[in-house]
Amino acid sequence: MTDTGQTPGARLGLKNRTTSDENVRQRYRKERRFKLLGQLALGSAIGMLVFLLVTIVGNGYSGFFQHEIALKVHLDPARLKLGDKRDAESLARTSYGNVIKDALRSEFPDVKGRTDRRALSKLVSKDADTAVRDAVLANPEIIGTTQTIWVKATDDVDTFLKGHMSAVEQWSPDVAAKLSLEGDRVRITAAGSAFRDLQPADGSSYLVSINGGVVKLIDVAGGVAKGEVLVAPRDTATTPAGAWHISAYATPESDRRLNDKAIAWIAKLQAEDRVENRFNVSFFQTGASTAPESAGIWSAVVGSFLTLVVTLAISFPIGVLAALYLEEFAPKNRWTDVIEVNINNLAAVPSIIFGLLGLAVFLTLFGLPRSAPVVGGMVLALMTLPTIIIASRAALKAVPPSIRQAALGMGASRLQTVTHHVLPLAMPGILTGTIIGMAQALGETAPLLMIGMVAFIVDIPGGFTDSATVLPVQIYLWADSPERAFLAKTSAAIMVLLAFLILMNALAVLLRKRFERRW
Amino acid sequence: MLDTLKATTLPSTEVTGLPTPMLSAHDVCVSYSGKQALFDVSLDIPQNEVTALIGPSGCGKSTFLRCINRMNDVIDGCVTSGTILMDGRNILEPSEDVVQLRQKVGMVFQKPNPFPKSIFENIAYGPRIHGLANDKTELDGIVEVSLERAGLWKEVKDRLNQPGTGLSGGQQQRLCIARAIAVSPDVVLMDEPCSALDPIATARIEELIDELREKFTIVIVTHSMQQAARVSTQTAFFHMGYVVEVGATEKIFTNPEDPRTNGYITGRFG
Amino acid sequence: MAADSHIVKSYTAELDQLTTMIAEMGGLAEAAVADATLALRRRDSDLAQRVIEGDRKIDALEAQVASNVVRMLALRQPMATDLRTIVAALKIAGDLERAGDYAKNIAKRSLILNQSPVTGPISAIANLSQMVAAMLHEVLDAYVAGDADVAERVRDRDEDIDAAHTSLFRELLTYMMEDPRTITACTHMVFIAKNLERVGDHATNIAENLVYQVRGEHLIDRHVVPGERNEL
Repeated sequence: MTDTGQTPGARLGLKNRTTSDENVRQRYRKERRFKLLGQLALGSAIGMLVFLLVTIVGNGYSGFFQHEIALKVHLDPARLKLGDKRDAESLARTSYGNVIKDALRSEFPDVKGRTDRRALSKLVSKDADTAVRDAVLANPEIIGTTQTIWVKATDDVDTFLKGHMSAVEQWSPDVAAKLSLEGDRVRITAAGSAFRDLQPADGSSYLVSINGGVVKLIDVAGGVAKGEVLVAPRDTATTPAGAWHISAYATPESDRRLNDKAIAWIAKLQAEDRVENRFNVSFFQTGASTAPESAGIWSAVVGSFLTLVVTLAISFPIGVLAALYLEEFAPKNRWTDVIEVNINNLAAVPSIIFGLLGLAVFLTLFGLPRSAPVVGGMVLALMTLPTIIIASRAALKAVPPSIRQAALGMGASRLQTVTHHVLPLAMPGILTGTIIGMAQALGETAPLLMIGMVAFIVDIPGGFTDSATVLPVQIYLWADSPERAFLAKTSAAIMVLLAFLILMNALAVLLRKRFERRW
Repeated sequence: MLDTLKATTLPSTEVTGLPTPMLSAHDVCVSYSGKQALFDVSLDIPQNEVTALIGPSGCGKSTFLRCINRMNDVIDGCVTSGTILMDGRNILEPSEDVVQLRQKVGMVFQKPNPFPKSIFENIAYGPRIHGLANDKTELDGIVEVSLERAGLWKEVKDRLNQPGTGLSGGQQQRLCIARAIAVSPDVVLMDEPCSALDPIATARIEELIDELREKFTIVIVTHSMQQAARVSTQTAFFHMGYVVEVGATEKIFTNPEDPRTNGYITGRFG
Repeated sequence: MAADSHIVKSYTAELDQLTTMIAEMGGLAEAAVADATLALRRRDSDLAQRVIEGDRKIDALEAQVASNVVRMLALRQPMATDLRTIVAALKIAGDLERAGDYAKNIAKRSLILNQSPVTGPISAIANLSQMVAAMLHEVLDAYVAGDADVAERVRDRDEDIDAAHTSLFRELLTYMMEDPRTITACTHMVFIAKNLERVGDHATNIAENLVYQVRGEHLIDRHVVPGERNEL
């Protein structure tokens, strides 16, 4: 190794290490391996996060959109039971269900029978009522006229249109088709392999959209197919190539929440460009609903906000004062040690315990209202307190003692030292800790379940004592709902929650950067 | 024979025999949580002179310094006994108000510790909390005079609103000195004020100490014996919590009486 | 004094080296004084020549001591006893160098005297020389031992030397008055006696420096008292 032939070992009188080259290589190998493992760990962590985000966004983005149907509504004052009244109150009070039903029936006049009619009326959401009312209230002049009004489709229609109900294959044969009526059946004749040897008996449904009508295929034999009319075509004229198409629905009709007739109706509306996937504004305006298309997160957002306001108002001053006292004023003895250990333990207590405590103390003992943000906030404040105290103490500890000495040496009292120097310097840290604690509280579900904040809240809570729910509980409720449409809503709500959390954390980072001072 | 020879020693600068010492400590004992750190320290601090406290680490010199402005009060389990007389009052008396005491006895610390505020605010803080200025003009005056005395005015007069932490180490320490003298104390305590500074900055501080001596009584703790020799007129050597020897600096550094002092200052301490 | 070691060992080594060099110088100076007188008494020109040449070594040592002292002052920043030891060493080295010079001067004069017939109180000069050499010897022993008390006693013997020198001077005066032909030789002897007396003074200085080194106190030269000092 060395020119003098003296290795460090030899100089110290140790056995000459001739293998030092090998040692160096081994050391480098070990370091490389360690670095690789670290990168691997980081990579898998990022991978999992990306997977989570992709899944949630993939599931959830459609939850922000909702299919709407343009209805031609004839606003007949008689059907609206308005008589001559046109005042806002009467307009707001009356039911618009009849005119919507009428609109649907006039759209599909050949729909007979109660079952089919009910199925028809279920194409549009119960919310359609509100949409029509809003249109009328916005402009009462339209009463008596026929208006095209966009109303929400039901969740089933929405789910179907988003492709979540059945796999769909659609093609337009490049040959002309001839349509002929045979009693209540139709015969479609097309050259070549337009029908691709379809087997309608295999459980799939095959609907042919032709001449403005929809035919469900029953039997296919070469270029001739027989079918049932679901929506009557305009005429039996020969249809040129490309102007007709066949849709295949893989899921059997009995397994679907929409039968072939309903699909046929939708197909007809679609053919007339009267179905659109629109951004669902009401998702951010409404509260819980049994109907997924009308369910929104606003009441949960407001509930979360009110709860967090209470949490912050209670835990921040108490937490900061407790931390200040413990760190700056309390004598260091066994009692403060015990308190410190217990605060640290408290931070590790499962949150549901706080919920039980809230149930026992706030609800049973104090008789505070159930499901109210004020109680939720108090419970979450209990849960957040240790976090805030620990973070605040850490921030206070991080203020160099030299600053305290400088202030004390200048003749500042202990209180002046703390309020003039220590607290302002620790504030960014305290605020960061508080925001992290708030974010934690925002994402908390379990303790709130215990105090009844799991309630089904349609109304937007107006105050701290109103019944309310919070975002994570809303997510929990939706995740539990059977309707397929709630799956997307759940993910959408998770995205909203994540957005709030990221926002809060960004705020924490910003505060730290903004007010961080070097000393 | 020996006595006649003693009488012929060269006259040394007479410091210890000043008629009215600024501070007069008698039998000061300090213990931290039962462990005694100072034993019966008696020491006179002469007015308008620089007294250096030297000694190995843990010898109690800083502890004694912190007794003078009661900074030990902050430490849990610290018990002080004895008396330190200042203006005829025992400042170790529990009833003595530490806030007022610390206005009269300022302190400069080992590491420059300006507040993370502007240069102006650093100086103005003391006068403000003690209510020494009636209006902004007076406060401006105090700030200027203090910085002038600390030899910093020329360097910072155009950037009084910039943070004090942006200055160089030596400037920061002079800022701390300016801050300490802004409340017009009688005594300025310095706890190893140059240990974090380079030799040039150290020389500036030493020069400053020499100038400040005219207006203030200075007590300085230092690990640099050369520094103690350069700046002080009286030196006290602490060892194991006792004051081993007090005397004129010249005497201590050329002809100490106690073998322990000699051992320490010649670097023979084992 | 340097027995208890410094934390920095090389510092102690340097101080020890300084003491050793002074002791060596002292030995050389002491021998030079004795040899110069011996050369005079035995009329031994070779010995006188050796003494003259030997002075160069003393001068060289003095220069080395001086440079060592400057280096230690700059690098070690000595304090208290160390400072006094180093400062005393510098001054003692100067004194010894002067003593060496005087011995050289005596040797030179003995070379001249050897060319003329024997005259004068040679034995009295030898006697004075012995006293001076003994004083030098003792003060150097005291220096090596770091003994201030011995040094103080040695210092007091300077008066005896002064007295011996004064009587020798009178004797030489008598010789010259009796026989003016001896004036040249006797004048040389006057200077030799004066040189020996000066060596004694330097020995006194060394003793005083030693007392300062050990006790840190400057002994004030009692000869300064007006009228008492024999101004020759």
